[in-house]
Amino acid sequence: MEAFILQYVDIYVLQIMVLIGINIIMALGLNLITGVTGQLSMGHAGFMSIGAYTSAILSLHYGMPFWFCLAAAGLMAALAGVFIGIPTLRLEGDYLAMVTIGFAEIVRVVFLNLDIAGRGMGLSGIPATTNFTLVWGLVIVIVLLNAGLLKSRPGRALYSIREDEIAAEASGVNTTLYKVVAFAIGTFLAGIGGSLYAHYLTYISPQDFDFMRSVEYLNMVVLGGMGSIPGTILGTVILTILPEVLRFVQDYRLLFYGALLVTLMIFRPNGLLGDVRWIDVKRTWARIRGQSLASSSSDS
Amino acid sequence: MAILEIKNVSQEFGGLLALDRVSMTVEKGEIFGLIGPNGAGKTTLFNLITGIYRPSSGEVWFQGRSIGGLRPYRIATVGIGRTFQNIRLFKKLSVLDNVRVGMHSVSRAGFVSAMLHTPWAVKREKVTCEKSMALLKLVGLENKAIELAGSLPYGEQRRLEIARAMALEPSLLLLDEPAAGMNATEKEELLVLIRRIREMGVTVLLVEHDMNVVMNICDRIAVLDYGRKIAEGTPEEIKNNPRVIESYLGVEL
Repeated sequence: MEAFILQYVDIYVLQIMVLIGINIIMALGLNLITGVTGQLSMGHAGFMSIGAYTSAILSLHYGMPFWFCLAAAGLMAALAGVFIGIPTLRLEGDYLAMVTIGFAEIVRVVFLNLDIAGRGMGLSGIPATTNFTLVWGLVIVIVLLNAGLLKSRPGRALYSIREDEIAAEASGVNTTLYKVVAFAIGTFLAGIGGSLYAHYLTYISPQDFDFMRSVEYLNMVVLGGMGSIPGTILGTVILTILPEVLRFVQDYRLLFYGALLVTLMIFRPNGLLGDVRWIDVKRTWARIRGQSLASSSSDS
Repeated sequence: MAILEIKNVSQEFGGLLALDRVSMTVEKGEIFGLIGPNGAGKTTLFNLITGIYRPSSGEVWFQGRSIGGLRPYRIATVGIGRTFQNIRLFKKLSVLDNVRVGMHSVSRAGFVSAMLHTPWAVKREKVTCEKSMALLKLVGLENKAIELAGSLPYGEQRRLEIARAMALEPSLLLLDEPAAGMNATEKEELLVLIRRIREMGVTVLLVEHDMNVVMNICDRIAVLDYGRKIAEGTPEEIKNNPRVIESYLGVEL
């Protein structure tokens, strides 16, 4: 697959395509927590680092096969998610934001001081098992499962929690349970993303998973449109490519990046695709076609 | 037969006694009205029945079991549906989805079967959809199924809330000021709707300030004032009760 793609694009573009795939998995996880269920998590990179380090340590120090490391990475991140989710998600409000910021910082400092994690040096020489086919295969599977979830009973329950938690409870939704499950799935995906990332770059260090990285994932979800799968994917693609495209402005890169975000939020406050519904697209399309048919028939 | 029994219930908020040893019994199949001046504790009593508050003392019994202190979703699941005084719809979801969320406890599909789109889950989904459409038809919103709930006019939002509450197939329906903000025609339609709901075998407990609506539709009425029940009886009895006239209905000069 790689060889096939490399006929058309150079290795640099291929790399970015793989990173886009990994970021989509990450952002879809955060979208489930923040976009769909409405629980603001600001520590997504923390869960990513748990996945990355779990996977790297298992394969470097214990020689475990990659598929095992990948699964373990997801499970460890989800376990951490449930561990901090159960006490925090019982409460209404933005406690989760503060707790996740703190948690991600703690995780970073722990890895910075842990011998087995290579301290500040990080871990290098991680087996390069992540490739384009694997990442995009997983993206497709995850998008399909995610879409199935969102348009069925549990998915609607998650949206209802975002919209009005009291009304959701009064409709029979066990909001605590659903918030914790959404958080577990979201952090599981962060762990998977972290593992793929570690085995792609083959080198990780605590600085890779700082607060700004969590904010970047939040940006992807918010820019694309909270709760929308196509929106999240679009937001991720744009925000992964943008820093690369903006390389020509060099030192002003972050300035441009910031200005673009501000502009977009002014003109599309709900995100690019946040308030676009498929059914409205179809209706508008039918109307446009209806009009063009009417005008062409009146011409003749 | 009693469907809901409130026994000596009190509710304190800090030093404020919002409900003071209130007792009342709602019989199966009746339309029971709860009236009283603002701040009398009507909505507090609703929140207490539906589990949003835990009673400071006293007991709430529903269909022969104690439900005081259960979490709201458990109370919804045992069969008490409600609407809210300040409409609480899922504004960015479609009208149909609002009702489908209401069917949450009636339907069963879990996370795994939903993700995998198992034939069983797809079938359940179809049943949910049909039942929800039937409820939208009941409240006259079947043509608005794909609109966003937040885009509906006020009166329709109130009716959608009733449809959502009916979706959990309740035996008791709590309506908190259903006629608020409605015009005369809408109120007429509301009376017809509430009577139809009763005919479907659902007991109705409602808070309402519009005396035409209350006196028209209720079999029995209880009056709250400063957290205390000051009267209970048929609409005729309530209209002529001197204490109720003094504290709430007012005297015609």
